[in-house]
Amino acid sequence: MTVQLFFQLLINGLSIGLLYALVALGLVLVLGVAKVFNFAHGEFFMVGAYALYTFSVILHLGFIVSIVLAGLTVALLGALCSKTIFQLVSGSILKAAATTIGLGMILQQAVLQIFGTAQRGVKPILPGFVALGGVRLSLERLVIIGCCLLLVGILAWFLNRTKTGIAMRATNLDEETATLQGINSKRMYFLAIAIGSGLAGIAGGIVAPIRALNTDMGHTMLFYVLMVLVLGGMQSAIGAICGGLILGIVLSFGFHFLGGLSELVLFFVIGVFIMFKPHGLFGREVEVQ
Amino acid sequence: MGYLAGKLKYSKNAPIAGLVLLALCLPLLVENPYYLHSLIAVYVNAILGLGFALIYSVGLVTLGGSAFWGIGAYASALLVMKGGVSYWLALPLSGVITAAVALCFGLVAIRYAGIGFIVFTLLFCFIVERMFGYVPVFGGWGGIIGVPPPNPVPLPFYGNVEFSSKLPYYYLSLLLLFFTMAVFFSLYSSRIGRAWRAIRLDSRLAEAVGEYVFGYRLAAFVIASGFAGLAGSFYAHYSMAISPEAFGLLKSVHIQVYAILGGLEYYILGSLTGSFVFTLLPELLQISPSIEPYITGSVLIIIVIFLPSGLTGLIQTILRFSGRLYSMIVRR
Amino acid sequence: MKLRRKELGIGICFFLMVMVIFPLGNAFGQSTPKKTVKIGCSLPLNISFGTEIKRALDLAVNIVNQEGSLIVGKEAYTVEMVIYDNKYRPEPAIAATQRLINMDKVKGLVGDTGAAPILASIPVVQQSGLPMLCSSHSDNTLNPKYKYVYNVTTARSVDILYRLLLKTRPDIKTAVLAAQDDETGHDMTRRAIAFLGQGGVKVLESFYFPRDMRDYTPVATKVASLKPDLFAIPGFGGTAENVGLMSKALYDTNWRGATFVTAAPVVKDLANICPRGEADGLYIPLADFTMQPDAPPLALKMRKAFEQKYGEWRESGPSWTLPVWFWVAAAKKAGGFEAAQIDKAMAGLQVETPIGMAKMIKRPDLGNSRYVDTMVTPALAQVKGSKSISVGSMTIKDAIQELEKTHGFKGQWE
Repeated sequence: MTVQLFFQLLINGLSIGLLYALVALGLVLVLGVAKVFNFAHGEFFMVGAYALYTFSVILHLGFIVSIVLAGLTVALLGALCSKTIFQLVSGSILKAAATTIGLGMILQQAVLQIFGTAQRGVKPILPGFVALGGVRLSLERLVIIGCCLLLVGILAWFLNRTKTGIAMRATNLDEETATLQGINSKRMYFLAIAIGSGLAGIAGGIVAPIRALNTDMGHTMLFYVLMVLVLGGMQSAIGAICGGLILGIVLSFGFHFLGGLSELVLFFVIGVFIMFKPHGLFGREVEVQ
Repeated sequence: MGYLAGKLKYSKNAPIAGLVLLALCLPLLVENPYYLHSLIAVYVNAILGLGFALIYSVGLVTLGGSAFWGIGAYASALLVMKGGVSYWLALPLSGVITAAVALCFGLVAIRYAGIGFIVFTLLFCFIVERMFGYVPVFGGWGGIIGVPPPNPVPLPFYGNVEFSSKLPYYYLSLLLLFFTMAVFFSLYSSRIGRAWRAIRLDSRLAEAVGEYVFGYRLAAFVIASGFAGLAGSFYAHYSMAISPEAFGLLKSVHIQVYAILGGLEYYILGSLTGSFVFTLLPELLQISPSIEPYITGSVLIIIVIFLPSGLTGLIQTILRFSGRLYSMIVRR
Repeated sequence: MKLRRKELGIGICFFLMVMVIFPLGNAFGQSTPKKTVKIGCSLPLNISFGTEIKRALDLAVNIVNQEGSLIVGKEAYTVEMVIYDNKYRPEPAIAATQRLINMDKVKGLVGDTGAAPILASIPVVQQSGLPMLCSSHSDNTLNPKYKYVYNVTTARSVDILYRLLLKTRPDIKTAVLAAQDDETGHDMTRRAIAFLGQGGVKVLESFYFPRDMRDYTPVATKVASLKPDLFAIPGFGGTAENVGLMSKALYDTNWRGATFVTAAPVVKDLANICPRGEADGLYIPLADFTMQPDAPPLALKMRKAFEQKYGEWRESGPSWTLPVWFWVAAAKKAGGFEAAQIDKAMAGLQVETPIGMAKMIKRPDLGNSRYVDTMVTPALAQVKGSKSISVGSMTIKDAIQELEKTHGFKGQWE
């Protein structure tokens, strides 16, 4: 293993890990604040990717504009769902699980019907790469890393420095007390779902140029995001980021040496890990329903 | 089972007997192997749905049903093909093996509150599917082909029953279904069932009153999974070929639908109704595969929000309403 | 207790449903007008690969019917092809096959593609006694205990393409293999290793990646770190997007060796996805025979049919229509559709296809001494822009000799 290979694997892992972290952050927001487990979160990610395709390839809008629009589209979708479905099922786990799974299926099929089975490719916006001492990083990947860091940064600022953000964190920690303090928890729900879904959508848009769009993207992403949540703690933002990074890096190195088996190994490692830290790195006991 | 035997004496169970008789005689009315295949699928799915309903009756939602179904299938196939065991021994053994795996998994996972549990079962489902694909002993992604049919059964007056046509499989699956229903019914009617209902209604209260919540939940999970394993064993030797993709997340979602569509309050008949409608209708009406996910998805959403007592509840309401109508007319 | 009425009511409803729905369902089953013979298959229609094959199969059957209907044993028949979606999963494949056999009453399973669904369906087909002509690139479908199952596809010729590749590129001394982690991938990797080894090439490493992988960077990183002369991806290639992404990922590394995929994508699509020419130089099986000087007439017919119906020529589908041509030829030769007749007719059958001449052969290396496999004229091509350029080909006779060289069993293949 040369130093060059090591850094190459590290960078690969970082870029994919940041992506998982972003999507996981979105889910943590939805789960923690709105207390709805959105199993269609993966599908939101997928819709974001297809939205980017629509805006940038079909409508020929600029890339940055398209990404923002993609995020907004999914945020809107999330807001719509929150007003109609999520609101009705926020209490019961079974209801939330069943309805969001159903929602995911409908979304997936709708996208499949609109866009067809032909996998879509998005033209790369920034062809070329950066070479740093033998480690090659395509500019697209750099864009991914950059966007993810930017978004995480914005979110961190939002959650820590703005009134609304702090209110959201309060609702996450303890809804009853937050309401007592005068925070409108319904508005927090709505906002959290919109922002959380928007994050998933933007992540989908960011990743669209380097992957073929495929309606199954959501399921695969959900799998990894769930592992991140288990690793990092189901309601912790920091947990989502750390978990995502760890997952990405471990998978990158794991694939190099073990091929597809690395996923299995990862699961067993996580399984052992939760025996020592049952609620993840930064998690707390989740409210019993 | 003594409890159930006593119940059978009463005449008010005539309708149940009627249903049973109907199911036993169906193959005489329906000869096309394709229909028999569909009915067999209904029975297998009903067993899986019953498992989901059982686990739900203690307040847990599982998305791992198909994983345990798969464990039972692979265990049975390997026992017979590599272990040289007779199918009739492999069948109960795979149920036991599946229950054992469920025990290990449950010990770790049931500790978590609702959401954590679902996430773990979902991950378990993914991982088991990948394990079947990656670990060579399970035949890899191509799975195991050429799983032999069950060994011939000697029946009195008839000679050996060979499993070469659909008919013996039909009766075997029906028998497994009846067995599952009977066991579950007696469990529900017993002290254990009462404890389960208490836990579902309010687990903290139940704990305060002295019920060992974790233990009862674990018991429910293990039993339900064990029976799913039995269904899996049947499936393996009926399809004669099993592959990891059959045991993925989609099947777990379908299992959820069988139970929910039928009505989760109807512990026994709900899953049968749900499985019947959801398995049979799309096949018979040849619903285009491009519409099917819309239907599955909307069913999940609509039933859960608007019709929580499912189709069985709907039928009951209709019957009650028509009964009242009838008595109103008759009185005139 | 309320329980009683509920049970009764449900029993009645169950009964009614059964009585009403079964005959209804029967009515929905296809009713056959006179003199039509039905064949059918299930395909993974949820991926573009499957829909491409479906289009090609439908057009192939149209061509058969246009030629003047199929004349078998003094009767003229119109062929009807019934295709169901199996989503590349075993359960729907089994249900679809059951439906084809019992409801549509097909005379043969013709055209199934994808090893996993095929393997799941085989037991059902065996019970029915119908012939199955499928396109599987896995040897497991040719298990000697299966009766009337035939692999009518390019699998054997694809194996031979490694020879052609080595002839064209004698500079290739080392190779790395990667394949999708499924039945087809594993089986084809095994054979690729055998053929490459025979050609004196050292296989540095062979590994697998998940079927649903979309981001091929880890694969490319691994290949680049091993620096082989050749990177081959057995069982991969039918979908242009996948090939394009793989090419892009490889291009982004500093490795510039030869790449070979064993299924041809639609090259036009490939060029759209790789505008910088990342896919140039990729070796693929030649699929577009219409540009050859001695183009097979069937290729030209298929092209015309595609352009008439879809406005464009999509050359990857026709490679998978071989089962149709062989079934038609076998039925004509045998004068009937029964499995035993077809089986006899398959002996040494040689048929014109859109990708050249093809011939049925035996598989002595699998212990199968019936004519169950197919050798197609091996032809190698290279991607240049939005076209594929022919790079070399071999006669069937020479191809079979190559098989003998690698597997032995001299003289027992034909």
